[in-house]
Amino acid sequence: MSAMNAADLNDALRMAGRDRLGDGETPLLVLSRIEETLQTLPDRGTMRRLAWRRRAGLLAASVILLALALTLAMPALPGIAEGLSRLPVIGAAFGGKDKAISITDQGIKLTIIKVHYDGLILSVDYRIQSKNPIDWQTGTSSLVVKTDGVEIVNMSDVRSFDPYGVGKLTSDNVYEGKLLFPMTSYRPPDFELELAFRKLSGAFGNWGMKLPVKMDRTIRTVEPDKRTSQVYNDRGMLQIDTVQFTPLSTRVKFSYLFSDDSDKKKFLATIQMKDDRGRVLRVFSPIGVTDGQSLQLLSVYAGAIPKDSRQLIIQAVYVDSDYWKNNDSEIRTTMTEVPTKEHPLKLPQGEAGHIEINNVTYKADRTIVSYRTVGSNPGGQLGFDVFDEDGNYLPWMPEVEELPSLGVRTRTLGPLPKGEPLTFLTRPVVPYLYPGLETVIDIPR
Amino acid sequence: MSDMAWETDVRLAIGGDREAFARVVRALSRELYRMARTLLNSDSDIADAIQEAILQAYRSVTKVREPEFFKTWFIRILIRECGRVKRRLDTVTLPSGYANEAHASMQLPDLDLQAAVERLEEPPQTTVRLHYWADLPVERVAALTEVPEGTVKSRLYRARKQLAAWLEDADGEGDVGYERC
Repeated sequence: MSAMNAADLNDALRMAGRDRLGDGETPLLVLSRIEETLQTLPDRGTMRRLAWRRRAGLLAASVILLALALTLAMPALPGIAEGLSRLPVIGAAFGGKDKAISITDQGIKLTIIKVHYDGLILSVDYRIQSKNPIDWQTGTSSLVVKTDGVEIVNMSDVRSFDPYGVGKLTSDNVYEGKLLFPMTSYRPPDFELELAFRKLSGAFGNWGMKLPVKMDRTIRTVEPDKRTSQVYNDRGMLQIDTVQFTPLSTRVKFSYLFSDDSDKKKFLATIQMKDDRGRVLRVFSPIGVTDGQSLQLLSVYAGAIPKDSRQLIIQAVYVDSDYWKNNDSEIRTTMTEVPTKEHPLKLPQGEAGHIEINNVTYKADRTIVSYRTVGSNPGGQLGFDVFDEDGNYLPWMPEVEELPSLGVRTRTLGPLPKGEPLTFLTRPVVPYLYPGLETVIDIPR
Repeated sequence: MSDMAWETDVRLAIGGDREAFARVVRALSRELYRMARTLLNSDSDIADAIQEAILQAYRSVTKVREPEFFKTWFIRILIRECGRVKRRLDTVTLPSGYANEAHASMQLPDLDLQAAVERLEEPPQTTVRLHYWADLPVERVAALTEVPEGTVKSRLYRARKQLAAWLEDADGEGDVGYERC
């Protein structure tokens, strides 16, 4: 830059400000966030309750500190020490983000290991330890969840907390799980979480607790270069505007224009998010039909991207909505011998593809089914059921499943007699058609 | 929004009316964006700052005693929030290819004016952004940053001196002038 006097510098600075503001129009991203924030403001009553609880928490902390100080200052006075030991510690029932809390009732100990909230998803890691073996086949559970006193989940007599939970038996007596709740309508920076388990693994009891929860604002934002994040062909255009990665979720803002009137057949158009290893984070509900043009500006979210993922792939998917009308049959395939990799048992899944069972291992405490999925619809092709020789349904053991993907995986049944011939039930799965609109986002490390 | 409707909504918002508060924020949204845009580079950071400012303002709106200063009070909160977001960004090291605009421009060997402003220390940097980029007179910058006008002037003077030094090599200092109100 050439030599500059004060007037030049003033002018240049003002000019830079005007350049920076451009037309000054508020972008959609900011407007939508303002609206989102205004829509989720708590009412004054809730705020007063929260403020009161904060004050109560501070008071409790003061009492504890005072008690601690007295304990340290007067250890020589046994009367005072004895009195202090009997004082109730206000707030002891409240837990923090990383502080485990346990409650035991009916011989079952429930431990909340960790609570995490990123402003969109709330996750609760928990462990159930029982004196007796956990009845995972028939024992049901009940749970009520409230945020700031408002009920968000009420599940009664369920075998698993689907769709809000995943978990696995780590031993006969211990179950470790994670509850995941999307906070779509109420997303304050902090709130009180109330968990009330009324039944665990078939036993009625009271495992209830209230926990203060604070938002974890660790967010990595990627605003991809439009030159690389926009793809288009004669069937439409897909452009990624922003991707945010948090410890619990992946949020994508994108524009999707489909102008596919080349085919006479109409398809439901949607978006699939997966990683570079083919693991599907989420397939969204149909966002339109491919007749004529439609521009969609969408903000969507999925679960957290796995730690070993290197890229996020966002791709357009077409689905034939008429497929189910003609394909609602059940296909039963009976195993006549234990399948192997060389001689797998093929389970048809209609036009989407098929499953190949390539091993069944009979162990004393469980039976492991190994299989491979081949086809176009990783999420839809994941499911199949198993029946024993007498036609009895065999439930899968609870386990933390990997994200849906094509390829090799295993699932586990209860123990079975060695060589028990199994019958597998599959259904036709709608095939996914890919119109060639796909963008790849490198994940920041 | 007419002046009367604005005043009524501000009074209602101060009285704890959530809907009135939302109406007032919607009416202010363009101004909030323009203000935040002068202080932050990325729209997602601006959205974060405005969101936090709204939540903070909502928590303490019932303590506002003078409705006529509502807007100043709100923008002060926003400026503080932008400062927080900026400090957070300054402490995060992003991998190459994902640096935000501020970091990207800092890596350029040829310093342009925007990048030079972003190199200024705080609080002079915010003062320059508010005075020149948001086009606010000195007394308004003083009111928003809660410092005397003289302090704003001396910050601007120091900032210009520094900018001149960066932009005009070693002998660029001297003719940087004092601020007129």
